[in-house]
Amino acid sequence: MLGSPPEPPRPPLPAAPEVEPDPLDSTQVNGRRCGRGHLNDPRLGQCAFCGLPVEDGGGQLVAGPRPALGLLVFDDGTTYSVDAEYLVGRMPEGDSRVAGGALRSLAVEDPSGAVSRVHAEVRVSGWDVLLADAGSRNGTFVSGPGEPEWTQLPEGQTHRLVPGTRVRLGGRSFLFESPSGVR
Amino acid sequence: MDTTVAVQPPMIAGYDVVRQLGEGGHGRCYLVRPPSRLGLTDEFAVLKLFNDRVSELAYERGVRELRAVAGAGSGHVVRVFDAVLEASFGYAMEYFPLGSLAAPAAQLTRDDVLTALEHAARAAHALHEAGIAHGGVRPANVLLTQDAGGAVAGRLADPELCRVLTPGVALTGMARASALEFADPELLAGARPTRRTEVWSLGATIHRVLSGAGLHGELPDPQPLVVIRRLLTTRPQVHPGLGPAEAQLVHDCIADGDARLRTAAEVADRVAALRG
Repeated sequence: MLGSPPEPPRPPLPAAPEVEPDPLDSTQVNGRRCGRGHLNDPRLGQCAFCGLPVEDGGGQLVAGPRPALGLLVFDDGTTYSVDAEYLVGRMPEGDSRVAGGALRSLAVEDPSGAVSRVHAEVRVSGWDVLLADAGSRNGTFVSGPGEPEWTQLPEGQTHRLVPGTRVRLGGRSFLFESPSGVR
Repeated sequence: MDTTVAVQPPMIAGYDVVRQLGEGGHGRCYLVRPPSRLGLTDEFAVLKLFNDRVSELAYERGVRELRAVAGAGSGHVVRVFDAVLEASFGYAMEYFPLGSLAAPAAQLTRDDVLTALEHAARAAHALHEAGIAHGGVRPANVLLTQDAGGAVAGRLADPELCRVLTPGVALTGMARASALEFADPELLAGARPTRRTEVWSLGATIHRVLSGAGLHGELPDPQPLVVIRRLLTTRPQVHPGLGPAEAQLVHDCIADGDARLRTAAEVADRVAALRG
């Protein structure tokens, strides 16, 4: 039966998220808050989550946990939140970086068979979301907002994703977008 | 002549399939007869099979989550009997022929509805005390049964396993975008599930069941990005048709800052107070 062996007890669920910034935590970032308290990339004038103006705060930045940096909206509607770094591919769970917890698995099924087992990486650095080909057989292609052409990413190079960027892996594609549509 | 034949597996992981009950956001549910190895007295069970292929690691995470739910020991939580890994992940749970608050099999009185909602909130509280966020509180997951005296009772089903099986996923390809109406928008902005986000879901569930409307109106299913943006950029609106006490309860479940109810137990007490 399912209940055996029992799962070890867990601490009760917190009432609300921890908000105290830890300066040694690499997921901490400096930014500006909107009127509803969302922490934002200081380069933005509007909140990426709710669209409200971001407060200038007299030029001072505030520290806090890094929020989700955007959404990966796949061609079948599956939507992932960029709140971690991903290894994208046909079978990324087999990679040691996923098994070790450094990257999160994002498995995509491609009937054409053109997606590699480990195809691309989605990394985060500060407020930026970076895409890199992971040595795929058929390449990783990007098309910036308003661009009709696809450009292949050179292996080993990272490409900063801005909202509205389309990404193609084999026969599959996804769109990188900000939650509120702010660009 | 129509040669189309509906494909229905006659047996899955030792379960005799009686019929398909439905297709939800993440998979299919079948009415099944459980295998004798489980030693159950229940004639029927529900077998839920997820659409997406999962690894053995993800399967282990799913089983651990289900064990934790079983260990919470709440009589208001649907019992899970078994987990299976075939082509995809699945689990077997209790079958409730009376349906759910989203699709009840019989007419319910207002007190029946409030009782089921209260029980769902108490189930959520028990899970929270055991360190578990349900993650999928919505009318379709509040199943209906009868207690020993024949009164309607509620059972909270289907803890959201997608975040365990596929971390980071906000919406799977098969999921209806409108299911997001029951998720605290702060989750879409990257917040972790907490009692606070679960209280929001209880409020949205209470609102939908009592008013027949969503807090953000009716959401367009085929457009996940449109749905996510509407949820993040517009304020929820409590339906004017709710009574004052009902509306105040919903407001208190979805309020910003410290004005929000702190626990699902508080929500349950407030729902119980609404009964006549």
